[in-house]
Amino acid sequence: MNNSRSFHFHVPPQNSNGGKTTYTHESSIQERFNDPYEQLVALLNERERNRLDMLEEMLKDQSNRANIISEVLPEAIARRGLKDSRMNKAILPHVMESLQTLFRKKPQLFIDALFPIIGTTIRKSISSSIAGILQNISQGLEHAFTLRGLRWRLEAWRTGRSFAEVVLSHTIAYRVEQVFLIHRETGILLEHLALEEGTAQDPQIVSSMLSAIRDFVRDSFSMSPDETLERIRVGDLTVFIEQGPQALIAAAVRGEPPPQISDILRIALENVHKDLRVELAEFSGDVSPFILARPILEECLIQKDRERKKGLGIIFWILLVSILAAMGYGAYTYGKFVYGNYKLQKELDAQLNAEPGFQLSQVRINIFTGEASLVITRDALARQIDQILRERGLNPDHFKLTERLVVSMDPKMIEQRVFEKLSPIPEGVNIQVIGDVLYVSGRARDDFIQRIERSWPAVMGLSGINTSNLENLDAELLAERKKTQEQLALELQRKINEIQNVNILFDVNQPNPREDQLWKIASVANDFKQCLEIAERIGREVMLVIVGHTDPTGQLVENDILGNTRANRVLSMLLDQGLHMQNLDTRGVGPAVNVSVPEGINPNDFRRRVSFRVQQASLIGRTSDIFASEN
Amino acid sequence: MIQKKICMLGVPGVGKTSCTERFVKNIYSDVYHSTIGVKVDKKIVHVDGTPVTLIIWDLAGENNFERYRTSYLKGSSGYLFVVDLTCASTYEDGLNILRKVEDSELGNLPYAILFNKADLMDRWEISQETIHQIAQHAPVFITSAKTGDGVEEAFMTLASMMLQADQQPAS
Repeated sequence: MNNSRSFHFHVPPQNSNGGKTTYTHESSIQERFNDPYEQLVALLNERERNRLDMLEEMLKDQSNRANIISEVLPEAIARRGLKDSRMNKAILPHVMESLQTLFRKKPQLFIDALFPIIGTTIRKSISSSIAGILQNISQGLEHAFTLRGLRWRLEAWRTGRSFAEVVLSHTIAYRVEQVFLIHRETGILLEHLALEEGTAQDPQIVSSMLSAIRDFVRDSFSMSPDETLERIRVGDLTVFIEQGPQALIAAAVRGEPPPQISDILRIALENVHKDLRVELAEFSGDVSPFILARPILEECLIQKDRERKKGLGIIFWILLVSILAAMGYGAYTYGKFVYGNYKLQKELDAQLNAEPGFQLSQVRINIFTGEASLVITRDALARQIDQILRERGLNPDHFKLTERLVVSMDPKMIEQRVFEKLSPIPEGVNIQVIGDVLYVSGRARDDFIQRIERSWPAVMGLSGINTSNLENLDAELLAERKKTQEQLALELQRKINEIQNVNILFDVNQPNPREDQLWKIASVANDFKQCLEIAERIGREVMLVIVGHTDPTGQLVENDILGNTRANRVLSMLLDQGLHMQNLDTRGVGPAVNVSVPEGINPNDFRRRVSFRVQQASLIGRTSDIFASEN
Repeated sequence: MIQKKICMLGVPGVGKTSCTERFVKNIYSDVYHSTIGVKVDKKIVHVDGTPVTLIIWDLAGENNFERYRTSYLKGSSGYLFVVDLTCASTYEDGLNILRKVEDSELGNLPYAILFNKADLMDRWEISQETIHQIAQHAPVFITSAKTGDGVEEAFMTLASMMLQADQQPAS
């Protein structure tokens, strides 16, 4: 026995005299035991007895006992804790009470202890709450805007259940919503856990009613006590009841629970019976110890989400198909539109552009109304679009028409303009425009040909004319007329020459011609009348200028006056002969020096004279030059 | 928290349910009586500062003890026996039940007798004398579920008796 080595406790000093010793020496043994056998036994046991007495003495001392226990207490607690939870249960109320007392008396201790961690805890809690809210929002959105969400809402509305409940029933395969730990005999609720607070009726009453129902069922169907109600099913809620010797566990499970749920409940029940055996056996209404069953019951609060179908939702497919269909329809419509446009444009192009003076510049079909709008450039002389469309079997009302008037360079339209300009065009004349040249052929009177020659430059689009194949019906006449005119011009010139060779002589310083000269005036008058007549016939104008001359003698100024006077006297004589003032003019030029005097005549006599100049049309206005050169 | 199951016993029509209703706030309808023969109610009372939850099993009235579902009685910590003051037979029939109860699962449990319908004084069929005699053996309360007289006291007294009964074996 080496136990003494492991104990270091205080051994009280042995006092042979004092104390209530019953041991030590032989004499006392002999005094106590008369029987020699007993004396022998006492002697043999003396050492052990002394030892026991010493131990007894030591244990009586409180401080020694405390020392002994203090040596093994931590290890004892640890070992006991490994074995079962009774140590915890034993200590728990005291720890709680101590904590409560401490909290009341020294709150600052807790404040100081909690201060460093409380911030982190709160932050963590808040962030976890926010995460939860976000998750809910996300789920809510998901459920709110999907076909499935709508279906569930409909279901909720139809069945009168809350939307959340319906969502839960569809998204959760099963979940244990409540767990009841019930005392079997009394039906009293020992402990209760629920996923969501306030989801059920008063659990204590529920617990009792549940017991009553169990009893009712068992009694009603004369079942043995071992046969009990194990399951109650209402809608998608199943109540599982696992019965133990002292207590039972009831679990309200929503959804389709797996078979192993009974195992889970049974294991929990067994653990409750193991850990709380005494409390259950001695139960008399106090449920507070059963708070220790909470961790066990919590393990029963399980749930499993329904497996989401993989792949894309029907909404997605509907959307995709809709989009594709819309795109297909859009493409078809657009294609039809484009093709329609193209076809119509081509058709109209072919039909309208064949029409002279027409140009189809734009065709557009309204994709929504189907109305075609045409933009047309049209020559003012071209035919009306309505008429053309009708001729081609198209209804003009089906088109929205916009016309722009232009001058067409189409040869047909140029030709049209030529016709309009030259109308009426006599028979036997052919008119054709090739490119920008007007070809006129056939036979025409000269006046028409003249008209063509004058008019064609005014026709837009023409840059030239070709009349090489146009025969002038008046050609012979014209030739004849030309011949006559030439003869007349010669005749005129001859008459002019005759007139211009006449000199009417005057006496010295006399304003009136000599008597022998007067016949010349009548002759000049007659000749000039003929000139006027011929000039008119050949389209000319003639003017007779009467020029008065003097001899060089006498004052120059007077001579000038005399020259004028002599010309005017002859003028009046010619007027008397029947000539008109508008064909006559006078000029006094004074003495003429360089003048060739005919032979046989005194130069000064010749110088006192009146001569004549006949101006033809083209020369009118230039008389001064003539006279200047003459002088 | 201490919870105690108690039963309400008595022949039909004596006012067990009325007394219970007077005492608690009901959450279940009386239809449970006709379906499974019991309706459970609950009330928290304080006995000398100790909160006690009374789980009250209001059993459907029966004229014979044999017809009671004894399983409902199991686990009770006490019971209230209700008698109709205006109908003497309810007491006479009730006495038979009471005796059998004492012999059964509920034997030696605290109980009290409620003489109900006290408000109908002119129709009492049970004399004061009889009541006094009974009061020698068991706690007796003259109650009126209609006015509420005596009901609360009866339940409170039973609760107190049950707590005392708990303490006795321990001491």
